[in-house]
Amino acid sequence: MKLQKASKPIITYPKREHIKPILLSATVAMALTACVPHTAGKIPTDNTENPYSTSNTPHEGNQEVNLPDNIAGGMPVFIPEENNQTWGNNPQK
Amino acid sequence: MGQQPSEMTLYLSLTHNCQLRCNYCYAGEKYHKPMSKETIIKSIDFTLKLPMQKLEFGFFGGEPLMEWELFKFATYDIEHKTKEKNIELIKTFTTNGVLLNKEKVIWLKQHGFYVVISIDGNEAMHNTHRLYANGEGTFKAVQNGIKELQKVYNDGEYAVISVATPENINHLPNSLKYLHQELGINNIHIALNYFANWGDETQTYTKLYHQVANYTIEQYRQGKKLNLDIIDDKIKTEIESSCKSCSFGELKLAIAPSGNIYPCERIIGNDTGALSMGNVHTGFDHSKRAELIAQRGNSNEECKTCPLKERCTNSCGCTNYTLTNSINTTHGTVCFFQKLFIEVADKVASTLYEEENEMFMRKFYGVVSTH
Repeated sequence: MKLQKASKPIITYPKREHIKPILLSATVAMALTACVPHTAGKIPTDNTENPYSTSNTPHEGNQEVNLPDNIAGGMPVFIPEENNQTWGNNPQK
Repeated sequence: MGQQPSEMTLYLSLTHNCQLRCNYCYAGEKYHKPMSKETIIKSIDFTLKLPMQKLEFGFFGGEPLMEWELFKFATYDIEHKTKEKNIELIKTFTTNGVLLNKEKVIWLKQHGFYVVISIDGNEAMHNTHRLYANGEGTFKAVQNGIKELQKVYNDGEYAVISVATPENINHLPNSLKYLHQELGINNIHIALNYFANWGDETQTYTKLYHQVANYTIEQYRQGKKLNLDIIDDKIKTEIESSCKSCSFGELKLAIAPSGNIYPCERIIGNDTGALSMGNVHTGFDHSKRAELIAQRGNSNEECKTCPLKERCTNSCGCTNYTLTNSINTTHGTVCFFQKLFIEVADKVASTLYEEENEMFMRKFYGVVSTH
């Protein structure tokens, strides 16, 4: 095989930096805000210290996202992250 | 070392021996020559003199589990010494899986090893290459080893690695399905034997990897977890605008049973001394190391204007060296497959992003939707 000439791919998904702050659809935002206690400030990220802890409240590793005022009243909403486990160093790659 | 790295990687090759005779193996001739305890201690002491806050430590080979007592000895030694120096320690190793049993699995779990097992896929794909010295296939033994591991290990604590070659790649889509659905493995590396003669069957390879992409998309749609490195890594190169860089010789050391120090575990082979950066008994050859680091990168004219250059592994020193005898010259086989991997990864990401797939959005963006 020889070196290939590549054309520039058409990318239809965004870079991560371009989607913060995120805009959630109204339906998703409503569903999320319904699960989160209405505290004025930041919800503790450590679940064990969270007096409002429920099964839907955040725990360590979650991400805080500020919604635009017109969607969620400026209240922080926490969205659990997928377990982005580290792959380690793959020696055979 | 000239700089203050925060993270180093150390691989010990405990032996040149292995029960298997995989005909794509690049680890060299198989014979009984274990690393001595003195060499293990010196390798660890030598490495821990370097400045670091974190050390990824692993075994490579030869089959490390054939030297189980040395494996444990080295682990205890490095655990003790990194604790004394307050260095964070990550432990990992790659095994052919044949010797995994209950006793070993429990010990590995207790010591926090991330385990990577080599299984090429279903029986047909695996037994194409991964044979015992007597020519018998190892599939059943490896499958049993994985099942032992799964009794103790949780999902995120192990992975498998499959090697695709021109001779077995037709089995790739079915093998992926087998590993994921029948063996219940969610973390799958698909490596490529770049060193084989891949000929010009480019349409066949393209079709097969698109089948892999389609399978991946379907798993996300069904909400089934699948971490497939060839897809995930390339999506991240676009989303995060970064590609894993080769740490060849700079942040990585690989030490042969003789004590010879290499810039990458894949270079050790028959331990001929080519590309060796010194020996733990005599010290670093600083000029050789500096020379290797200076050569890293990519020198192909064709790559300089390539729109995919930032997403490509064309600067992998060991692959380049093995294929072209030059650390910074990339072979056409690498080019073709890197282009293909990017193409299928973009297909997966574009499709799932368009569909607002919740699992995809959480995994790559940390959010559930951007629409």
